[in-house]
Amino acid sequence: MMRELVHNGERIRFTVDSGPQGATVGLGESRHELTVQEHGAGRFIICNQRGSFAARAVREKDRIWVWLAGRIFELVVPGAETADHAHHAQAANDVRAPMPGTLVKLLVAPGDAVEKDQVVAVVEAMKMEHPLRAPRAGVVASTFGAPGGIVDAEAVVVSLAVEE
Amino acid sequence: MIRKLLIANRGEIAVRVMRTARELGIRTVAVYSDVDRTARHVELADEAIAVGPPPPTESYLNIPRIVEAAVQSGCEAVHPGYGFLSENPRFAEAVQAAGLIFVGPPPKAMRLLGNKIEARALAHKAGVPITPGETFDTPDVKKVVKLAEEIGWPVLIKAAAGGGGKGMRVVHAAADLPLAVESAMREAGSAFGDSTVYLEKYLARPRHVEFQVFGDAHGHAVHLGERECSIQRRHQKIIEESPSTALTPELRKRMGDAAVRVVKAAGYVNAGTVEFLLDGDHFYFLEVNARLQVEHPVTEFVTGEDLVEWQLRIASGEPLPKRQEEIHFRGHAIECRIYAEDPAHGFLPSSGRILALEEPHLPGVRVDSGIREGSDVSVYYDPILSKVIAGAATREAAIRKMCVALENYVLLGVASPIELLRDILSHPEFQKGRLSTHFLEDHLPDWKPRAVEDPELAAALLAATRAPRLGLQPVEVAGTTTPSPWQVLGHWKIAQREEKS
Repeated sequence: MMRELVHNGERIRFTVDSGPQGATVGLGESRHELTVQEHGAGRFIICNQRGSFAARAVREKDRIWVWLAGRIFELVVPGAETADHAHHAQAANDVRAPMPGTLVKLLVAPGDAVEKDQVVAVVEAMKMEHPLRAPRAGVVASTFGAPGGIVDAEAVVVSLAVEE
Repeated sequence: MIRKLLIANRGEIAVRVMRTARELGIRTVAVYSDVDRTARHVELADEAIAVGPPPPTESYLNIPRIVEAAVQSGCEAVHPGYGFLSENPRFAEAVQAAGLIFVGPPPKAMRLLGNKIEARALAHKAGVPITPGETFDTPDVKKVVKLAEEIGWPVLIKAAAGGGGKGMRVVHAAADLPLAVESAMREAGSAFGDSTVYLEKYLARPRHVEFQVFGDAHGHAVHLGERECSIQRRHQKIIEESPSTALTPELRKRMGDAAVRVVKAAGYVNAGTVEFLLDGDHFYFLEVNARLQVEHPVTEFVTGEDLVEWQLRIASGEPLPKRQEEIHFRGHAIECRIYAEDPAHGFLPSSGRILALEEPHLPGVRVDSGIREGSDVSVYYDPILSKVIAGAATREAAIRKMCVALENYVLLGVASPIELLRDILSHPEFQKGRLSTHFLEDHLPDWKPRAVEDPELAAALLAATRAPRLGLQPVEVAGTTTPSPWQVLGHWKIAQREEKS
């Protein structure tokens, strides 16, 4: 799948093929084999043939900031404003898995009242547990999957009843 | 000794003053504007008091409100930090009129030295060389052009009442003068409440060398050596160091003696900085900054003294902690200022939220910081975020240490000059110590970050596809003047991590 990010006003088209240890990043004609260790949200050690590099990445709205071994990249998601908007509308009701992994805990059932930021499920990936939190206070409408099952990235795990 | 101190400032300097106060067993009171409710200086203080809406004139420059806060909270003294009210004699007088100690010079000395024209006259009388110059407070262009022609082009227009490059313009020809005068006066007026400007000869490639001085209430004065602050952008310092590579022991002694003469002539008490322009081995008195300077930590490194402690002791009426011959210098220290600004786009200030922050920790490196992860950098205040100070036995080692520190400084969410600072430090001319106030124009004009190579871009893109989406919930702490650290921390949450095409 071809991806696109804007760096210094320049559109960069690239591919990422994720494997068990890392990923292959395709950039123009070149392919870069990278291994990646994630040790906390947005904290990575990325290795290529030249060595290993600490990295930190955060995303706020349509802007992704990456710190890579002393260099800073400010990347913009092309056309993200509209996507972001739709995403936020959905985010108000849905709790999604942030990445592919194993659903280790499902802490709520349909009909349960939840507080904003309450942990409703836990997903594990790369030996890290990621709590999933309710985006707002509300009532659980439905849950998807069962503990031990696999979830895809962006899969809805819990959804809240739509408020009038 | 003072027992309770109000710090009439924000950001890294408020935090800095609080650290020493705490060490000396002094209780601290922070003040904050509405946007700073959860700021780091508020979190660190023993107490915190709201002083008004975000615009500085309604909060950090609000003299009656700040004095009232100091009195109400039972403070005995007020430390003004730098900027804001630090060089405002009316503030010092208001503090004293309320029966409190002002941690700074007497209002009279401040008034004398805070005015560039009077300060020059005083320095001249004390036998200290000055650059040719003249003052005016009317936009009478004919008069100003005549003055400029007497002095000789190019000329520099400066605010008489302040520093920090505000209200400062270089003018090369008569045709450019009217607009420059008008805007300089307007900027001076809004920054300092006094639109008087000052005209002086503009030296082409001077070095900026300043001396840290202290006076006490018993008539003594000493200097704590020099700081070279030649690396500037928009007339504002970004890298400072001590000692200066330009001074011989003989020149250091002459300049140090001159600085002490100025202090004594002014009846100056507490911390001050005497600034000089240095052209070859000719030095010219520039001005006195009647406050603690941003770059004071480099002096702290080379002298081993805590300048805020000196300030507090002297303000409490104690004599100078050391005599001139007891002050010794060792090693070399460099400071880099981390501003929220974009050096690749004209140093435009950058506001926003600090999304990721990891300050470097290594031996010999100190970070004075006013931010933490999640802090909002507001458009209302000076965009200084923090300062990195590296010290070592030699200049080479201090530079090397600083490079490592900057390479390990993670700051995401706002633009910063970290990559530019690294390029300056590794520039051969900087490493040779050949500095001038025009260093950036001469050696790194139109600076842009080094081109990105494919392997690092690939790694960055991979990290980008796995970047967690951050949403910080602002925490309401209305109704309390002392939010607990747990409240003010807010809470981060990973709302979504995604791989988007």
